[in-house]
Amino acid sequence: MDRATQGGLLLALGGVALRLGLTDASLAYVKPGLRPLLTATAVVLIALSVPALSSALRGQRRTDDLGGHGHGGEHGPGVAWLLLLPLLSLLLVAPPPLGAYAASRQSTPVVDTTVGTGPLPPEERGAVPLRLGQFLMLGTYDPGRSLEGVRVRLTGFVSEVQAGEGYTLSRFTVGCCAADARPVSIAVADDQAPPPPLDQWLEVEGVWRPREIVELGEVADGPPVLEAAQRTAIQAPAQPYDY
Amino acid sequence: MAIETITAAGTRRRARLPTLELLALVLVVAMLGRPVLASLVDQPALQTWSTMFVSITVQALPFLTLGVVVSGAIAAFVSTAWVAKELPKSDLLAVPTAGLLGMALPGCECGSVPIAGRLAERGVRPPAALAFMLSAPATNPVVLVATAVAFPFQPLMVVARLVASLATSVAVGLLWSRVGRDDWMQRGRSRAVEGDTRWQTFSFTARHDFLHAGGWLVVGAMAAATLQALVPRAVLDTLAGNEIAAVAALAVLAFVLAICSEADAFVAASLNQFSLTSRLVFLVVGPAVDIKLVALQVGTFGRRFALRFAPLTMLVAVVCAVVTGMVLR
Repeated sequence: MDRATQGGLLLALGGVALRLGLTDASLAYVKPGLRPLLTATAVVLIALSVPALSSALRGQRRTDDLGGHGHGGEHGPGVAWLLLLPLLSLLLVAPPPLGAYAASRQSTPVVDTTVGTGPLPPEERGAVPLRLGQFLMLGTYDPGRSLEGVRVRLTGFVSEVQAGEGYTLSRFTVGCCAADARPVSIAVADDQAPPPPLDQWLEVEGVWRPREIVELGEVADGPPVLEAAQRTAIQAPAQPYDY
Repeated sequence: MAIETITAAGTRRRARLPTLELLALVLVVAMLGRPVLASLVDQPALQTWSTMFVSITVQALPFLTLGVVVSGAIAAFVSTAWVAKELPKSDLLAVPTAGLLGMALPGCECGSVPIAGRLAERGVRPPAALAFMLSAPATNPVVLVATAVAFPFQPLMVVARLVASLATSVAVGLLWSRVGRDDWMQRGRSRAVEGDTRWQTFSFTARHDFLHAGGWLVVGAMAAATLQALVPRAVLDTLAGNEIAAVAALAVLAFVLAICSEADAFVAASLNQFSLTSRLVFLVVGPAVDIKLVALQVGTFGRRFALRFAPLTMLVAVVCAVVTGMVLR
């Protein structure tokens, strides 16, 4: 890889990093907090590409090739060609956020340790909006049974369908980036036909199906169940993961 | 650093491909083939694979960039002669000092091999130069911050990594001063390529290190995505379920993947079936010994050296990481 190509590759990577830093496109892969860092990265990469490209534009490739000046005989490392792979994936395919397939490959954590059992948030539009992790926690471990009789609204995607009975609603919780995401899943009892397709994002309103509460740290025999009263298909949210 | 490990100028020169034109051609063909590519990736397994692959790469990119900017600055502004002069003369003192010095002078691991070579040429005793070589890529602030970001719920991981990597570098250095023989090391094989100005040295080093480390990051991200998205769950669970198998597997993985130390924490974080101790082994072994480093060490110090040094380092790194993991659990 000669110097001009190195510059071109850095410039292209800088451009892609700039787009990721300035738009929501990055949220399928990383936390929103990384966006300013990605923008800064883009600036550095573009700045590093300038000397390489400008010397090429000034027609110095020839002198370089002859090894006559400065970094004569400069060969960029061949392994750098691999950087084309993420570049092209982002430019051409733009991989979507993780979905049902990824959820099916991991078991749901029994306790979502990042969510405590605080008081329920206030009602909005006729139901209490809860994160799936909160519903999982309260529906499994809350000795005060604060979910009993409360109409809640949950948002997630369909990760499994049990025809005629309902489906599993999931959302990934991300620690660092999508590669370490873990699915949080709850069961929805909903016999409304036809069942939603896999990977469809839903807003489901309904009431917790009372069950025996277990002690923190004990294993429940399954995820808590939401008796669905109403479901609405929605677009995938811009921020597909919980953090 | 601004060094090429080419033995004699020009021996690697081949007929040049017009690589810039090749790059442009690849981009154009890929654009035209976009519908075909998109439908290929329509398959859920491949989709998951590509999402994880891109995630690791994107997450690591800012840290990699910060790392190469710092290593470029060090190449341009810190002289190895100064380091060589200031280090104590006795191994017993110089080895730990060099290990600690590694914390202050960040650099990619590929960069620290030629620095160690230059240190040795400038009169630093080999055990101290080697301790520096092992410690600099594993214990510097950029790497520790990246590790903290990758393990937001396990802050002890940062401490464990620092302790185990420092212990590895000092232990290998001291062992080498007991058993190592100077004639195993060839000298004068590294060749510094420095620019006319500090800015040129900086931009050359940063660009070169970025492309090199970035390429290896892609290898690591592909492997991690394959483990997570394509390898059958049962295989992973069996491997991760047995602590000894997990440690062995991740030590081998770290050796084979050769990910840059600024980026490897994100790969380790993605291997969430594996225990924290086995992932610590991954983080300690990776910057100390892997395929790419062995190749660089053969180039810098010769084959006789690398064949002895690599197994020693691997053994010490695994032991240090496992012990640290057990103590800090």
